[in-house]
Amino acid sequence: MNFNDILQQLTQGFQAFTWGNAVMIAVGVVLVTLAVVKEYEPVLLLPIGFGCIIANLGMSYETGMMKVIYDAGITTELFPLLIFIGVGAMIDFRPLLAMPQMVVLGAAGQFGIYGTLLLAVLLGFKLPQAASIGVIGAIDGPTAIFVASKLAPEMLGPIAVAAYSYMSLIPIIQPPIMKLMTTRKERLVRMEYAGRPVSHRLAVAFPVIVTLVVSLVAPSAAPLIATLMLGNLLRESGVVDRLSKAAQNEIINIATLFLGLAIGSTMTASNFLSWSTLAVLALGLLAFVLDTVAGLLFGKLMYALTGGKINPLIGACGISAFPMAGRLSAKMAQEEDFNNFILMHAMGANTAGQLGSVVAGGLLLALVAGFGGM
Amino acid sequence: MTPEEAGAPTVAAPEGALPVATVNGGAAQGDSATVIAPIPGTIIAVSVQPGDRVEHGQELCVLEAMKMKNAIRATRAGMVSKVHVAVGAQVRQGQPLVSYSD
Repeated sequence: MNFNDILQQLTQGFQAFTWGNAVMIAVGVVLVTLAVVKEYEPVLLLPIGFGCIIANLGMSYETGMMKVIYDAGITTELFPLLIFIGVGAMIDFRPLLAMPQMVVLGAAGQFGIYGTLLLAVLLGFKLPQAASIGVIGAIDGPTAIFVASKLAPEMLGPIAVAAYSYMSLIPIIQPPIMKLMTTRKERLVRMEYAGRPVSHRLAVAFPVIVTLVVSLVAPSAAPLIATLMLGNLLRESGVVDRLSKAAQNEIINIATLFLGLAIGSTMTASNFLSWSTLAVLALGLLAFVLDTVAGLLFGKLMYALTGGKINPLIGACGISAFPMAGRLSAKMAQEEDFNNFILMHAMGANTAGQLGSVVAGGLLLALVAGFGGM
Repeated sequence: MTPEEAGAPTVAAPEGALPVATVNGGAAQGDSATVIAPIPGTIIAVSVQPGDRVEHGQELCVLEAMKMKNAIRATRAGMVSKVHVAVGAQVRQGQPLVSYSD
C-alpha cells in the first residue's frame, strides 16, 4: 500500500461528501435546534433531525443499521401503527360520546385534504403523490406517514417533516385564521358542558364498534383504526392498566424514536434538495390552512343553525392534531373571556377530527387504488 | 393522561354536588355566592383560603381537564368564606369550588 492509497482510505469520508450533504446537515441541525431550543415536537423532530444528519454522512436508509430500521418499520408500515396504539391509549373519547353531534366537525375538518389534492394534481403531481401531500392537512403524523409510505415513499421525508413541524406550529398558524374567520361575538359564545355521564359499558364498546364500522366502510384505513382503537380499548377496559401504560409510554416512545430516525434517514441531499420538497411543504401548509378554514366554516354554520349556541372556534379543532388543536380552541375562547370554558366541546371536536383524519386517509388510499394510481 | 383523569368526567356525582347552578353557560358563576366547576377535572392547585379578599380576575384554583390547566378566576371581588376542594380532588361539572361570604 503506497502513501496515496493510505491517504485515500483516510479521506474517504470527505470524498463522498457533497455541498448538498452540507446543506442537509444544516437542515438536520436546524430541526434539532428547533427541538432543543423551541421544543417544537421535540420527541419527533430531534430524532428526525439527527437521522437527517447521519443520513448525509453515509448512514442513510439505503445501507446498514438505518436500512434495517427503515425496512422493519416504514416499509412494513409498522411504526405509525405502533404509535397509534399509544395514541389510542391516550385519547379520551368521552367528550365526543357525550356530544356525538361533534362528529360533524371532525368530518368538516378534512375538506382541505381534498382541495389540496386537486391543486397538487393541477400542479403536476401524480395522484398518489398528491393524495399523500393532501393528507398533511389533517396534521395527523402517523396517518400521513402511513398513507405516504404506501403511495409515495419517495416523498416520506418532506411529508413527515411538514406534518410534524406544522403540528408544533399550530399555536402560530391557527390563531390568525381563527380571529379572521370569527367575530368577537362568536368567540364569546359560552357552551355549557351538559355532558351526560358516559357509561363504562359504552366507553368499552365504542372502540370495538368503531373498528367494526370503519374497517367495513374504509378497509384501507382498517390497520390505523384497529390500532388506535386497540389502544383505546386497553385504556377504557380498566383491567389491563399495565398494557395501557406500556402503550402510552414504552411502546409509543420506542416506535417514535425509530420512526423519527428512519424518516430522517430518507432526507439525503439527493432525495430532499428538490423543488418538489418545497412544493410539499407549501402545499401541506395550504392543506392545513384549508382544513382549518373548512372546520371554522362548519363551526359558523352550526352557530347559525343553533341560533348562536355553538362557539365556532371549536370548528378549528376538527383537524386531527390531538390534543393541541383542542387546547388551542379552548385557549382562544379564554383570551376573550377568562370565564369561558369550551375545552370539553373542543376536545369532542378534536377527537372526532382524529377519527375523521384516519377515515379520510383510508378513503384517499381507496380513491387512489380506484383510479389505478397504485 | 392517567386513567384516573380519564375517569374524571364520569365520576359519580358527590352528594349535593348536582349541577344546580349551570344556567349561565356552565362557566363559573359571576354573581352567585359560589364558584362552581365549569367542566369536570382534577384540582391541581388552590390559590386562596377562607378569609382571603379576592379581586376580579384573581386566580382561585387550577382545574386540570384533558391534560390542560384551566385557571378558575374570580368574576367579582369578594371575601372567600369557604374552599370546598383540596389539591388532588376530582370534581364534577357543577361542583362547588369556592364560596364567598359577601
